[in-house]
Amino acid sequence: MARINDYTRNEVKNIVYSFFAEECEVDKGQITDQTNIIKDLDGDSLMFLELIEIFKKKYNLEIELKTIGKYAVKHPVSTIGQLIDMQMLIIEHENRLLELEK
Amino acid sequence: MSDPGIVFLFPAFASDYKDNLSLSIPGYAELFKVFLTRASDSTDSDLTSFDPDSHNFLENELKNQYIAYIQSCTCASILRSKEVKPGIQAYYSMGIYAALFNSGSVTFETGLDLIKSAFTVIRNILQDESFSMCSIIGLNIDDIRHLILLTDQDTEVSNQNGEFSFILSGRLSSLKQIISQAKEEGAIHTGLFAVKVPYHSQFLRETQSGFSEFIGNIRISDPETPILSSLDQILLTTSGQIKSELIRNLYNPFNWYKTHMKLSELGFRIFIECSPVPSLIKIARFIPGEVKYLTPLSAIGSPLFSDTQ
Repeated sequence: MARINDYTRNEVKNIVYSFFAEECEVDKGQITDQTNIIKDLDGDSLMFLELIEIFKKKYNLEIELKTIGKYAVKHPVSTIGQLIDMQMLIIEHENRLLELEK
Repeated sequence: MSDPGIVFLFPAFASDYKDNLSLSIPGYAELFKVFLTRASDSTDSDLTSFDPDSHNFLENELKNQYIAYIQSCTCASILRSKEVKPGIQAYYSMGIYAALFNSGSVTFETGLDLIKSAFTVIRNILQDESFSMCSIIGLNIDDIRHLILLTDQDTEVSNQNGEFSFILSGRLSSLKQIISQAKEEGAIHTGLFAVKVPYHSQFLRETQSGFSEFIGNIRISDPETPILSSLDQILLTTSGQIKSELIRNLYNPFNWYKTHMKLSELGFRIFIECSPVPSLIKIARFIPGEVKYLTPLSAIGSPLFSDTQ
């Protein structure tokens, strides 16, 4: 289990903001934690998947996509802030993410 | 002169037009109108009322295919006029017809005839409209096969877009069942397509004879630019191969993932999607390899081609 600190959180936030700014062709300064990924940025689930792959590589994570999918069904993400929170949990718990449900 | 590093990609029909770049592509509106008028005359179908903003053709599979074909032909023709020429072409599903026109294998009108004939032959063999297609992202092939086994097994994997991205074709009721189950199994995304034809599945095997007969009566030339088969990733260089591919394409699964990998393996690095509505670019996010994806607009404006314009 990885230990999450402020540095990691800021790093994750920066990656998420930069990713959506580039993918959705918007100014990074326009994105906040309250920004709705679909309504405000016209984002999609493919972007979510791509972001997961970026974090899997960066933090060398061992987690199956379907584990994230199962978690996401119960904890749907709609804003950038919620997405960052989920990524933090993924980095922290990896394949044990679903144990948080127990 | 063709560039050995460039691939022209031809997508299937659109599911929406929200990212339509057509107005930004120099010369697009004028040439599209010319092709649209020719297509209306040739098909006896009123295509001139096409309006991407109102999405008025999305519900009509045949018109939607015509429009995708015309859009692709327009983009590829503009690129060629700017001396942006491919060393190879690849097609996604029914994008084969535009690939054939742009390789010089068929005329523009013959491409339209092929679309209409395939559609008619399919409609003649399908007894009802209880078929469709769907996408599932986030599960692997073993998971997908397991889900198929849980149904009446009247669905098939009709395409693989990536390691965790699949398209299925088959009975609508079973597809809905699979989608529901896939969500429970942890699929990141599922979606039912707005089509009533199970393309690339054995349900269309009976099209073989009717479509063969039609193809036997039209002129198909050897392609000037080779086309990579999406079915088995071999190079199509003769009219005989093209004819066989056209027939098999309706009822055989294809593999976009392997096609993409093969193009990379062959050394192609610049992939230009010949459409004003990017779709293959999105799929390519999950295919490994160092390739550069360009829209027609970005290709025309790219410094990569500045010395050829």
